[in-house]
Amino acid sequence: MSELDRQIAQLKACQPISEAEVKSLCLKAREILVEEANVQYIDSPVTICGDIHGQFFDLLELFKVGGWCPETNYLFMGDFVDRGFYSVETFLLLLALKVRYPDRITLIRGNHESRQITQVYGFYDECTRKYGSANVWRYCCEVFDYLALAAIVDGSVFCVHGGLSPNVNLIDHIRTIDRKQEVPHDGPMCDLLWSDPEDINGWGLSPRGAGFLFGGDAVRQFARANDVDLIARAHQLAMEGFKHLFDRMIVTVWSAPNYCYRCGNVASILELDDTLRQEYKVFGHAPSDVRSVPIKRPPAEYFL
Amino acid sequence: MSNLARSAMSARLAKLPPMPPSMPGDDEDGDEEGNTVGELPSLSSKPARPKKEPNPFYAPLSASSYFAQALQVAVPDAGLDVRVYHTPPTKDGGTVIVCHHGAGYSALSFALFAKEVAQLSAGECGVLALDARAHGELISSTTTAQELDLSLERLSADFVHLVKALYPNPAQAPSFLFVGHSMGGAVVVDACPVLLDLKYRVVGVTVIDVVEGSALDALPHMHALLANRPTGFETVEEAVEWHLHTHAIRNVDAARVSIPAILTPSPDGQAQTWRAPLGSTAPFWESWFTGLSRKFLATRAARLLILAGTDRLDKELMIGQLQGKFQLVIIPEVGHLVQEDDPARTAEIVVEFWRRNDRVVPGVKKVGEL
Repeated sequence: MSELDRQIAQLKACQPISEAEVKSLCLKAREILVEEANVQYIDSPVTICGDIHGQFFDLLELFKVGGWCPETNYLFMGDFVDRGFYSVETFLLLLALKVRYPDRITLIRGNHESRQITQVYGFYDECTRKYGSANVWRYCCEVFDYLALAAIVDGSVFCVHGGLSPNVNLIDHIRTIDRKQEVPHDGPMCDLLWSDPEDINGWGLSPRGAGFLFGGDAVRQFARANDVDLIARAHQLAMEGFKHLFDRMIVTVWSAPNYCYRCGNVASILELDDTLRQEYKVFGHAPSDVRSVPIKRPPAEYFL
Repeated sequence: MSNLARSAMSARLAKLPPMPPSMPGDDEDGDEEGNTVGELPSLSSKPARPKKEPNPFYAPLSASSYFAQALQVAVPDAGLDVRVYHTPPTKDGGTVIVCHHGAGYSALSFALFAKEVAQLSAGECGVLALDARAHGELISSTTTAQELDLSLERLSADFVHLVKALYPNPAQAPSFLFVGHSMGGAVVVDACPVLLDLKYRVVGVTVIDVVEGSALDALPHMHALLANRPTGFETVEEAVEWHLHTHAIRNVDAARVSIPAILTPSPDGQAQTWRAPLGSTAPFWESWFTGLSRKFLATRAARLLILAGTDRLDKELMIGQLQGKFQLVIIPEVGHLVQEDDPARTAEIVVEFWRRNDRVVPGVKKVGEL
């Protein structure tokens, strides 16, 4: 068994690998990712997944439902880390699979794959808690900067974490972005990772404080200009696991069941077969396990 | 602000000295001769028994360094004379950030924040902070029972009446951004739709460090928390020191401005006691927070939630955030009095929020616009 296979087995058991192993894994991952395009071409069949957010045991459920990599090809549309309690194991397992089977799994960047966001929503704290220093967090953030921004399946299903940008009419525009940087606060790269579809005409400011809201007309225009049949994206909680909008031109795929262990939602994955037929597989959260149940926070000592 | 609104404001201002001498801490320079305000309850009123020497490090600071004006606004509809601190925007078309404090605090909780906002926005944003009823320097003409009515409905109506009194004509009023800390967050969220219906322009609403779920969870512990507070202090300086030592406030200057305003001399003049009778407001606590998350998410303007330290969203806000319904900013290393602990960062976030939502590229809809 190779060293990498052993690490994968260890991570599958939800046991973190050593700091030195993380460092070397991240270096290898960067060598692979640097070769990928901003918009990575992938072939069907492929299974498309949305946000995971460190819910490791639910990721195992996902693989049970969708099949293991490399038997199944995967595209994960970002937000691997933060909020859940096992961001380290979740991201490293996906990264180890990427290094082991580079053509079988594609990881694109979500808005949480950012230094700034991970320092607020848990990944940074988890790394320092589990490794005693911020080194692992730093290695991972360097990998984040190399992740592709989008993917396109068979040239006709456009996949991105957030959505469209008023400054990106053509997919070719995305190719001109210098992506190897922290996610900016505005501009096309920010919008791709932050925007949301909404029942409006044209464009609106996103209430999130970054990115835009885009309406059905923007989606149709983008699809026509780029010869795209479907836009698959993640980024928004869908209580039923997935949600179509605008005559099924766009779909939100959400893969973190019972998000944050309290939202009560189901999750889904989107299987595209080799004719790009869509099948959504819905799944619930992992059976309650002492390890997967978060510690209840004491009530805040504040008020009024 | 329009000229009309400005002249309406100055007409009311004219009835008052710019900074009434009763303001605690006007003698910030420590000049003994400055303490000549005989008939007013003065901080330096001589005690009958010897007190320990006040520590000058914790001496009160005047609000006049932080706001351009202090005024009493007659709000007959609310039966109140409301104490307001105001720094108007210096540019036409500017926005006024109207700030409502939390329970037990006062308008001066926003003093340092106000100064930062004026600087950061280069005068494009003004700040107006008010004392709620039964708090701060507010004078009430109504009965005590009414004065102590701190129900959300009453506080929210007070807020609406104050805005109407200051800016009677919505078409000529400046645009607003409402900021509420804790209980004040519940008030501005409740009042916002009423003011929108009256055709005031509201760029956005900012709630500081309160979440319905965690606030309601925390309520049962509040009596114990209140019981553990001292009932009073020998001097204002001692009160400032207490707030800093208990980490209630983590910024010396902020405490030196805000704490004097929430104290009042005890009837015998021997001590400083809390101005707001927080314990007796307990019947209202639940009303402040119940429904806050739903109302916040339904606000027809941009929505910003600023939290101290960690993310403690309740289920409704968590779902709302994950569906992209509002902006969440978490400020590390601060306590509950976020705007006092880190006024610069709070102002930066609020001004950035204002800029993004006020200065929208043509053709792009604002948040809440249909």
